[in-house]
Amino acid sequence: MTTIMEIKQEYENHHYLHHLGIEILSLEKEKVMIRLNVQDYLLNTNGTLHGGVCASLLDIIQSIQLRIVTKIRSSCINSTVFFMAPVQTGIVYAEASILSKAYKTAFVEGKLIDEKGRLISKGISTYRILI
Amino acid sequence: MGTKNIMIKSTDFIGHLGIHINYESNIPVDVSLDVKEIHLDDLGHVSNGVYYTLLDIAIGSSVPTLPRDSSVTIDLHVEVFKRRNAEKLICKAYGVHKEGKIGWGQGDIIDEEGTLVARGMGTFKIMEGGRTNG
Repeated sequence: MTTIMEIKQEYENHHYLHHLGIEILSLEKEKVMIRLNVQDYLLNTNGTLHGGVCASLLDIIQSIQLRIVTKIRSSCINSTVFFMAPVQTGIVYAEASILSKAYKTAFVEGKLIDEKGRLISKGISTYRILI
Repeated sequence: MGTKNIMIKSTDFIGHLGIHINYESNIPVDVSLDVKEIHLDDLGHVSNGVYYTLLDIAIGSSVPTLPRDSSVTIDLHVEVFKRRNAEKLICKAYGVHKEGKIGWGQGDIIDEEGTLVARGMGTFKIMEGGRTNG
Protein backbone atom coordinates (compact mmCIF):
# COMPACT_ATOMS: atom_id res chain seq x y z
CA MET A 1 0.00 0.00 0.00
CA THR A 2 1.35 3.39 -0.99
CA THR A 3 1.73 5.73 1.96
CA ILE A 4 0.94 9.44 2.06
CA MET A 5 4.66 10.13 2.42
CA GLU A 6 5.34 8.22 -0.80
CA ILE A 7 2.59 10.13 -2.58
CA LYS A 8 4.06 13.40 -1.32
CA GLN A 9 7.42 12.30 -2.71
CA GLU A 10 5.80 11.64 -6.10
CA TYR A 11 4.40 15.16 -6.29
CA GLU A 12 7.80 16.58 -5.38
CA ASN A 13 8.91 15.13 -8.72
CA HIS A 14 5.99 16.72 -10.61
CA HIS A 15 7.84 19.19 -12.85
CA TYR A 16 4.79 21.08 -14.15
CA LEU A 17 3.51 21.65 -10.60
CA HIS A 18 6.81 23.27 -9.65
CA HIS A 19 7.04 25.25 -12.89
CA LEU A 20 3.73 26.94 -12.08
CA GLY A 21 4.84 27.59 -8.49
CA ILE A 22 2.15 25.45 -6.85
CA GLU A 23 2.66 24.65 -3.17
CA ILE A 24 1.14 21.65 -1.41
CA LEU A 25 -0.37 22.78 1.91
CA SER A 26 -2.08 19.64 3.16
CA LEU A 27 -2.00 16.03 2.05
CA GLU A 28 -4.29 14.47 4.60
CA LYS A 29 -7.04 12.12 3.45
CA GLU A 30 -9.69 14.38 4.99
CA LYS A 31 -8.25 17.55 3.56
CA VAL A 32 -6.01 18.02 0.54
CA MET A 33 -5.18 21.62 -0.27
CA ILE A 34 -2.74 23.36 -2.59
CA ARG A 35 -2.14 27.02 -3.23
CA LEU A 36 -0.64 29.31 -5.82
CA ASN A 37 0.79 32.75 -5.33
CA VAL A 38 -0.35 34.70 -8.38
CA GLN A 39 2.76 35.94 -10.18
CA ASP A 40 3.03 38.22 -13.21
CA TYR A 41 4.16 35.37 -15.47
CA LEU A 42 0.85 33.54 -14.79
CA LEU A 43 -1.32 36.36 -16.10
CA ASN A 44 -3.01 36.93 -19.44
CA THR A 45 -2.77 40.23 -21.32
CA ASN A 46 -5.71 41.58 -19.34
CA GLY A 47 -3.72 41.19 -16.13
CA THR A 48 -5.79 38.33 -14.72
CA LEU A 49 -4.84 34.74 -13.95
CA HIS A 50 -4.67 32.78 -17.21
CA GLY A 51 -7.46 30.24 -17.77
CA GLY A 52 -4.84 27.57 -18.42
CA VAL A 53 -3.41 28.12 -14.94
CA CYS A 54 -6.86 27.74 -13.33
CA ALA A 55 -7.51 24.55 -15.31
CA SER A 56 -4.05 23.22 -14.39
CA LEU A 57 -4.61 23.90 -10.67
CA LEU A 58 -7.95 22.09 -10.80
CA ASP A 59 -6.44 19.12 -12.62
CA ILE A 60 -3.65 18.81 -10.08
CA ILE A 61 -5.83 19.15 -6.95
CA GLN A 62 -8.39 16.68 -8.30
CA SER A 63 -5.76 14.08 -9.15
CA ILE A 64 -4.03 14.50 -5.76
CA GLN A 65 -7.35 14.12 -3.91
CA LEU A 66 -8.17 10.91 -5.77
CA ARG A 67 -4.63 9.57 -5.34
CA ILE A 68 -4.69 10.22 -1.58
CA VAL A 69 -8.06 8.49 -1.09
CA THR A 70 -7.55 5.48 -3.38
CA LYS A 71 -3.74 5.16 -3.03
CA ILE A 72 -3.89 4.06 -6.67
CA ARG A 73 -2.83 5.99 -9.74
CA SER A 74 -5.52 7.29 -12.06
CA SER A 75 -5.76 9.04 -15.39
CA CYS A 76 -8.08 11.92 -16.23
CA ILE A 77 -10.18 11.18 -19.29
CA ASN A 78 -12.27 14.32 -19.43
CA SER A 79 -12.68 17.56 -17.61
CA THR A 80 -14.97 20.58 -17.61
CA VAL A 81 -13.87 23.86 -16.10
CA PHE A 82 -16.12 26.83 -15.32
CA PHE A 83 -14.50 30.23 -14.93
CA MET A 84 -16.46 32.37 -12.48
CA ALA A 85 -14.32 35.34 -11.52
CA PRO A 86 -11.00 36.89 -12.52
CA VAL A 87 -8.15 37.18 -10.05
CA GLN A 88 -5.26 39.61 -10.43
CA THR A 89 -3.10 39.20 -7.33
CA GLY A 90 -2.80 37.34 -4.05
CA ILE A 91 -3.10 33.66 -3.32
CA VAL A 92 -5.46 31.15 -4.89
CA TYR A 93 -6.35 28.03 -2.91
CA ALA A 94 -7.54 24.78 -4.48
CA GLU A 95 -9.42 21.91 -2.92
CA ALA A 96 -11.33 18.93 -4.26
CA SER A 97 -13.80 16.23 -3.32
CA ILE A 98 -14.72 12.87 -4.77
CA LEU A 99 -18.32 12.80 -6.00
CA SER A 100 -18.41 9.10 -6.83
CA LYS A 101 -15.96 6.25 -7.02
CA ALA A 102 -16.61 2.89 -8.62
CA TYR A 103 -14.15 0.06 -9.33
CA LYS A 104 -12.42 1.73 -12.29
CA THR A 105 -14.07 5.13 -12.61
CA ALA A 106 -14.27 8.16 -10.37
CA PHE A 107 -15.84 11.60 -10.63
CA VAL A 108 -14.00 14.37 -8.85
CA GLU A 109 -14.82 18.05 -8.47
CA GLY A 110 -12.50 20.85 -7.53
CA LYS A 111 -12.74 24.52 -6.81
CA LEU A 112 -10.47 27.52 -6.65
CA ILE A 113 -11.04 30.25 -4.09
CA ASP A 114 -9.16 33.45 -3.39
CA GLU A 115 -8.05 34.83 -0.03
CA LYS A 116 -11.50 36.32 0.59
CA GLY A 117 -13.22 33.00 -0.07
CA ARG A 118 -14.55 34.15 -3.45
CA LEU A 119 -15.14 31.32 -5.93
CA ILE A 120 -12.75 31.77 -8.87
CA SER A 121 -13.24 28.58 -10.82
CA LYS A 122 -14.86 25.18 -10.55
CA GLY A 123 -14.12 21.94 -12.34
CA ILE A 124 -15.45 18.43 -12.61
CA SER A 125 -13.49 15.55 -14.10
CA THR A 126 -13.81 11.87 -14.87
CA TYR A 127 -10.91 9.62 -13.95
CA ARG A 128 -10.03 6.11 -14.97
CA ILE A 129 -8.56 4.32 -11.97
CA LEU A 130 -5.52 2.36 -13.11
CA ILE A 131 -6.03 -0.94 -11.31
CA MET B 1 -17.36 31.56 -39.11
CA GLY B 2 -15.74 33.19 -42.13
CA THR B 3 -12.21 34.21 -43.01
CA LYS B 4 -10.36 36.50 -40.66
CA ASN B 5 -6.91 37.51 -39.63
CA ILE B 6 -6.06 35.80 -36.36
CA MET B 7 -4.27 37.91 -33.79
CA ILE B 8 -3.20 35.91 -30.76
CA LYS B 9 -1.76 38.18 -28.13
CA SER B 10 1.36 36.67 -26.65
CA THR B 11 1.36 36.77 -22.86
CA ASP B 12 3.88 36.12 -20.14
CA PHE B 13 2.23 32.77 -19.46
CA ILE B 14 2.49 31.69 -23.10
CA GLY B 15 6.19 32.54 -22.88
CA HIS B 16 6.54 30.84 -19.50
CA LEU B 17 5.35 27.55 -21.00
CA GLY B 18 7.25 28.01 -24.27
CA ILE B 19 4.15 27.91 -26.47
CA HIS B 20 4.77 28.89 -30.06
CA ILE B 21 2.13 30.81 -31.99
CA ASN B 22 2.03 30.25 -35.73
CA TYR B 23 1.17 33.72 -36.98
CA GLU B 24 1.12 32.45 -40.58
CA SER B 25 -1.96 30.42 -39.76
CA ASN B 26 -5.40 31.89 -40.26
CA ILE B 27 -8.10 29.25 -39.88
CA PRO B 28 -7.62 27.05 -37.97
CA VAL B 29 -5.65 28.88 -35.30
CA ASP B 30 -2.38 27.02 -34.85
CA VAL B 31 -0.27 26.92 -31.66
CA SER B 32 2.43 24.41 -30.82
CA LEU B 33 4.69 23.33 -28.02
CA ASP B 34 8.05 21.59 -27.96
CA VAL B 35 7.63 19.40 -24.90
CA LYS B 36 10.26 19.88 -22.21
CA GLU B 37 10.74 18.51 -18.71
CA ILE B 38 8.82 21.45 -17.21
CA HIS B 39 5.62 20.20 -18.90
CA LEU B 40 5.79 16.72 -17.39
CA ASP B 41 4.29 15.11 -14.32
CA ASP B 42 6.13 12.72 -12.00
CA LEU B 43 5.61 9.81 -14.43
CA GLY B 44 7.11 11.73 -17.33
CA HIS B 45 3.76 12.27 -19.06
CA VAL B 46 2.64 15.65 -20.33
CA SER B 47 0.50 17.14 -17.57
CA ASN B 48 -3.17 17.56 -18.47
CA GLY B 49 -2.89 21.22 -17.55
CA VAL B 50 -0.65 21.71 -20.59
CA TYR B 51 -3.39 20.34 -22.86
CA TYR B 52 -5.99 22.61 -21.23
CA THR B 53 -3.74 25.63 -21.65
CA LEU B 54 -3.06 24.93 -25.34
CA LEU B 55 -6.77 24.48 -26.03
CA ASP B 56 -7.76 27.55 -24.01
CA ILE B 57 -5.34 29.73 -25.94
CA ALA B 58 -6.11 28.33 -29.39
CA ILE B 59 -9.91 28.09 -29.06
CA GLY B 60 -10.12 31.45 -27.30
CA SER B 61 -8.25 33.04 -30.19
CA SER B 62 -10.41 31.36 -32.82
CA VAL B 63 -13.74 32.64 -31.51
CA PRO B 64 -13.57 36.43 -32.09
CA THR B 65 -14.37 37.37 -35.67
CA LEU B 66 -12.49 40.67 -35.71
CA PRO B 67 -8.71 40.92 -35.13
CA ARG B 68 -9.14 43.77 -32.61
CA ASP B 69 -11.53 41.71 -30.49
CA SER B 70 -10.49 39.09 -27.97
CA SER B 71 -12.17 36.67 -25.62
CA VAL B 72 -12.56 35.60 -22.01
CA THR B 73 -13.12 31.95 -21.19
CA ILE B 74 -16.51 31.05 -19.70
CA ASP B 75 -16.08 27.30 -19.75
CA LEU B 76 -13.83 24.70 -21.29
CA HIS B 77 -14.49 20.99 -21.79
CA VAL B 78 -11.62 18.68 -22.69
CA GLU B 79 -11.51 14.99 -23.60
CA VAL B 80 -8.08 13.43 -23.11
CA PHE B 81 -7.57 10.42 -25.36
CA LYS B 82 -3.96 9.54 -25.00
CA ARG B 83 -1.27 10.32 -22.47
CA ARG B 84 2.18 9.65 -23.74
CA ASN B 85 5.64 11.06 -24.08
CA ALA B 86 5.08 13.47 -26.93
CA GLU B 87 7.98 15.50 -28.27
CA LYS B 88 5.78 18.11 -29.87
CA LEU B 89 2.14 19.06 -29.47
CA ILE B 90 0.20 20.95 -32.11
CA CYS B 91 -3.17 22.48 -31.30
CA LYS B 92 -5.51 23.62 -34.05
CA ALA B 93 -8.78 25.36 -33.26
CA TYR B 94 -11.61 27.12 -35.00
CA GLY B 95 -14.75 29.03 -34.09
CA VAL B 96 -17.98 27.06 -34.34
CA HIS B 97 -20.72 29.62 -33.69
CA LYS B 98 -21.29 33.14 -32.47
CA GLU B 99 -24.41 34.57 -30.87
CA GLY B 100 -24.15 38.17 -29.75
CA LYS B 101 -21.13 38.46 -27.48
CA ILE B 102 -20.89 34.73 -26.84
CA GLY B 103 -18.84 32.47 -29.09
CA TRP B 104 -18.15 28.76 -29.21
CA GLY B 105 -15.07 27.07 -30.55
CA GLN B 106 -13.37 23.72 -30.64
CA GLY B 107 -9.88 22.41 -31.08
CA ASP B 108 -7.75 19.30 -31.38
CA ILE B 109 -4.29 18.51 -30.09
CA ILE B 110 -2.13 16.12 -32.06
CA ASP B 111 1.38 14.90 -31.35
CA GLU B 112 4.38 14.85 -33.70
CA GLU B 113 3.10 11.62 -35.29
CA GLY B 114 -0.35 13.08 -35.96
CA THR B 115 -2.03 11.04 -33.21
CA LEU B 116 -5.05 12.75 -31.68
CA VAL B 117 -4.20 13.39 -28.05
CA ALA B 118 -7.02 15.63 -26.81
CA ARG B 119 -10.08 17.49 -28.05
CA GLY B 120 -11.67 20.52 -26.44
CA MET B 121 -14.71 22.72 -26.79
CA GLY B 122 -15.17 26.04 -25.06
CA THR B 123 -17.56 28.93 -24.55
CA PHE B 124 -16.08 32.41 -24.62
CA LYS B 125 -17.28 35.95 -24.00
CA ILE B 126 -16.16 38.17 -26.85
CA MET B 127 -14.56 41.42 -25.73
CA GLU B 128 -14.77 44.13 -28.37
CA GLY B 129 -11.37 45.78 -28.62
CA GLY B 130 -10.33 43.67 -25.64
CA ARG B 131 -6.96 42.32 -24.79
CA THR B 132 -7.24 38.81 -23.44
CA ASN B 133 -6.90 35.37 -24.94
CA GLY B 134 -7.28 32.94 -22.09
